Amino acid sequence: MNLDNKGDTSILKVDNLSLQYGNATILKNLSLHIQGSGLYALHGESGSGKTTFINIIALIQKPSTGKMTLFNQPIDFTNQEQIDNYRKKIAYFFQDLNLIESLTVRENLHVISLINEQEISNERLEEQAAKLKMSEKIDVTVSNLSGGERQRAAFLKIMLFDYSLILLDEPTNNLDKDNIQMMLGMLSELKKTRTILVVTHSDTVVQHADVVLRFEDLNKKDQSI
Amino acid sequence: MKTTFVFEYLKKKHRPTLRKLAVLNFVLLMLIFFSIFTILISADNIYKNVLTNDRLSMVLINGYSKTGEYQYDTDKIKRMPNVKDIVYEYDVSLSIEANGETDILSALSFNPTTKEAVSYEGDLKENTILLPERFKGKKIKVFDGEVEPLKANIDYYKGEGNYFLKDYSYLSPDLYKKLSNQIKIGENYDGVRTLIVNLNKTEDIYEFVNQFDRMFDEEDVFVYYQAQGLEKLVANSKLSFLLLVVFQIILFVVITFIYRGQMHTLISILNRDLLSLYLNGMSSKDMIKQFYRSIDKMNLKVYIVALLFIAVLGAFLLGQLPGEIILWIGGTAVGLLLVLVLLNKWFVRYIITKRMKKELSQENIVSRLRN
Repeated sequence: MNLDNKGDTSILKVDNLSLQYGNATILKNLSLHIQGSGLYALHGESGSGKTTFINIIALIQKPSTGKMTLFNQPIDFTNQEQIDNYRKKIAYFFQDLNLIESLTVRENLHVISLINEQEISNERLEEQAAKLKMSEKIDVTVSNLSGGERQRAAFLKIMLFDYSLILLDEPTNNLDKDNIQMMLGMLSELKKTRTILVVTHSDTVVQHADVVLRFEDLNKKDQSI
Repeated sequence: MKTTFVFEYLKKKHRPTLRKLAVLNFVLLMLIFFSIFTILISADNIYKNVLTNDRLSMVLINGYSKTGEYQYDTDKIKRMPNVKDIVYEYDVSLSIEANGETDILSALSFNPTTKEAVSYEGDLKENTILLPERFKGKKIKVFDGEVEPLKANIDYYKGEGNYFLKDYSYLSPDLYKKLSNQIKIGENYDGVRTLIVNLNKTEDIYEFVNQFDRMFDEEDVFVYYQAQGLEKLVANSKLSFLLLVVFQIILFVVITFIYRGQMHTLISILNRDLLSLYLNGMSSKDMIKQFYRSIDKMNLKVYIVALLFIAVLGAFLLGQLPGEIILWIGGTAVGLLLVLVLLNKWFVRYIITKRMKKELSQENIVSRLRN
């Protein structure tokens, strides 16, 4: 399957990607091609290897075999400089590890702006914080935020910085119904201009996706989407 | 580079831990500094005053058997390791009257060994008595063993040589031969030859004395050393120096481990933060570089305080010690501190790099994300 209805810009291309862990095969001949912006949901059972796959796309883990192309550039997993440069273009939203707990939300965003070398104005920060109902929490230390507030604070970074690919691992965990709706609203807005790949169990998220990918299907046979 | 300041935030949030680390580094730096300084001073002291002190390199030995004099096998002694030369001869007794006061001195022949023992320069003329310098300027009358006046030339030595031979007098070979014929051998213990053993190096004295002792049976022969105790002083000096070095090495290792442990604790505290920074796109290389820079910046204050501390100590000592010594000590202290600072910087960078590389390895990150 080739989803080229979102434009002709290749964001991610994976060819015959496999990962062997000792004697266990985690990923086998996995292929995927994502072009243009949109919300892609990666749906699958627990322990099927979804997070491992997303770790590889986030350039955190190396595959055993296979090829990967990001933003039309082949990735050389042995080239650490290339990996370090590309990791800055990818937002990886991973459970509760997105922010430094001892810092406030504002300080965290400042640190991320230093890492990505992207400046953010106070006006834009206030505007996006208001959308996520985080205006009053912006100067609160992350460790003092509730689970839902932390998720929203982490989501704030995705809204503020210009990432070429956004990877979300179970983003609706710890969120109540209202917050889920708010987040889905933000994702619907974001997907118009960004490419978002989300690993999720949530049917609500799946319903909002432009494309739903069954991980078991990807991992069993060669497939081009 | 903008990202240089990422860890400024962490410094603000973990100030107590960082301050503890800085204080510890200062204490450790000072401990190592003063330990090494103690070693240098002790080594200099032991080396100059004991181990290479020529004035301690001769051993005077007398030996008695149950029947009187014990005859040493001089050929065997000459062949012993570390022996440079020996003198084996009878003491000649001289009465010296100086300004009316009589003193009894033992006399030995003037030869290369005894010449070295009193650091005398040049040779003695015939029929000459060499007296300690304390007799110089006094009206001297010399009497032989028969208390008969002795007509001979008199010269003096300063006595900067061997400690145990500096109150002896020395006779030119012809005079010694003449006077030694008067000695009544075997009548009592007075007629016992003195054995002087000149060693190659002072530090060999303990080995020599031990080996020498083993040559005799205590029940048959009583060996008496004029330098008794000296061999223990030398041996103890060597041992104490070795122990000092061992102690410093142990201290250095302990200090290294304490600091390393404290740094690991700090990195463990920051572990979750490091993972967050990594997931937010910061490279391991940048994290290691910036974290080291933050710690190094903090350590700069430690180095300055250490230098000031030593400067204050130097100023205090200025009033207590001569200027020349203070200059020498000051120069050594600053040089040593600079070397220690460079070593400290290298060490801090090494432990940070090693630990953070491990923490930020792909295996570790993946394993933590999986858990």
